[in-house]
Amino acid sequence: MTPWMQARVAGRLLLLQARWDTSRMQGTGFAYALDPWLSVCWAAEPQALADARRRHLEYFNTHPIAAWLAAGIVCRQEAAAAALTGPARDAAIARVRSLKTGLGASLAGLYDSFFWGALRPASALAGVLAAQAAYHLGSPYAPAWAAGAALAAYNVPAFAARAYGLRRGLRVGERAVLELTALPVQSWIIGLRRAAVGGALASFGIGAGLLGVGDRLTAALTFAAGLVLTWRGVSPLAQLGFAGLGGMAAGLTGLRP
Amino acid sequence: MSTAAACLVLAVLELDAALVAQTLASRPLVVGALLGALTGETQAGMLFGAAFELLSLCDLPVGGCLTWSTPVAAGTATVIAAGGASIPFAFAGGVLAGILHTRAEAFERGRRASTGDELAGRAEAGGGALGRALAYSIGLHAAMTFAVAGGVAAAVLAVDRRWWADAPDFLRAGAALMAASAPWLGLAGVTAWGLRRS
Repeated sequence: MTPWMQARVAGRLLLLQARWDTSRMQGTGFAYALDPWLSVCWAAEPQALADARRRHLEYFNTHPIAAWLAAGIVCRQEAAAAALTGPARDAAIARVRSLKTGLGASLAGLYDSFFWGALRPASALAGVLAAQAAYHLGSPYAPAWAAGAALAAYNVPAFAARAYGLRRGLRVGERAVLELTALPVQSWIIGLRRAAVGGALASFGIGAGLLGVGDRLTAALTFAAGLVLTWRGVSPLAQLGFAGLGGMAAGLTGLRP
Repeated sequence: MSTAAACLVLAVLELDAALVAQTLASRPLVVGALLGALTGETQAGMLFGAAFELLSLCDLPVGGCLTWSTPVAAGTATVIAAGGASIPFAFAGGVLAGILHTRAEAFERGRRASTGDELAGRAEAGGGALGRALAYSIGLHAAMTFAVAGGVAAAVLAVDRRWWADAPDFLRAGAALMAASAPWLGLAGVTAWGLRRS
């Protein structure tokens, strides 16, 4: 695949979820991303090209970053299938189909845990702490620091993983998944989650330190209530509702006019 | 910056949440910071951004899960605050916008599924049908976000000007405690969630 074709597929993968729906999920976006490459692979056979488009319009779902690795592997296999004939081609196409479904599910678990479950909270806390630090230092650019820190902490690894995934998938196919599983991802996840917890506690300390004694106590009680409610599975939205109701009850009884 | 222009910026930024790129430029912290700077409500934008960001960190956007749109909540709250409403009332307006946006998005996703087979039939022949469908979907979603944020902001600002100052104390106390507790509940949520899973 030429660098220009890789750039076209990569650009289109940014629209992977642009038509996300409840039955095909990312299928439409994935087919759109692969379309330039399918047009090249199956250029001499219009019916085979229509079949290729149809099979990629089917259900597909994974983490948006994992889709780049899946796209690399699928592109490689489509090219291999197009070079075959007869039963060997049918077998290769059946393999593309099953591989895509399997890849989507297996990669999603790993990428969701790392990018959504660890890097996203850690990068958010980096942004919040950067804003608090800028505020304490008297910088007028606290919002820029917050946004910049949060975006950089997430996107530097995320775009590296996207680019590497697509290239590696194209180059070595399914072996890229084996290489991925050899990485110490679980220890990275644990490290990032611990960093997020540390960041949250530091942010609480810095924020509460700015308050008066009475408000500090209220903040501590709210924090403790939030810990208990989260451990008991109460959603943040419901917790906000409880806080609102609590405030109204306090207002009615004259505790907090 | 006018309310309509701010809602337009929000509608474009929000596309990043699911439809385009997922660079997290749509995260509440970024939306709040940017809209706060653009509307002259820097502190309110940062406060809403940080509060909604922390409250949303435990909601994983996995498998198309929709809970509430915190980017829309943070952006709308900032726009409402820039319109002159108090912080607690703007925060409540943001929560309402976030919930409404999610309901509208769920409807939108179901509607896309119902037209998926017809699109697939056209797409097999090539010719740009998929590209047009994706562009239409993006445009419709941005328009929906603009309508929800703008509608809620206009309604909340109208209530704020005509009624909120004379509202019963208990209602204002409820809104105040909800807004004041949000950052602490968010931080507690991240802490509890991180300790449980690590």
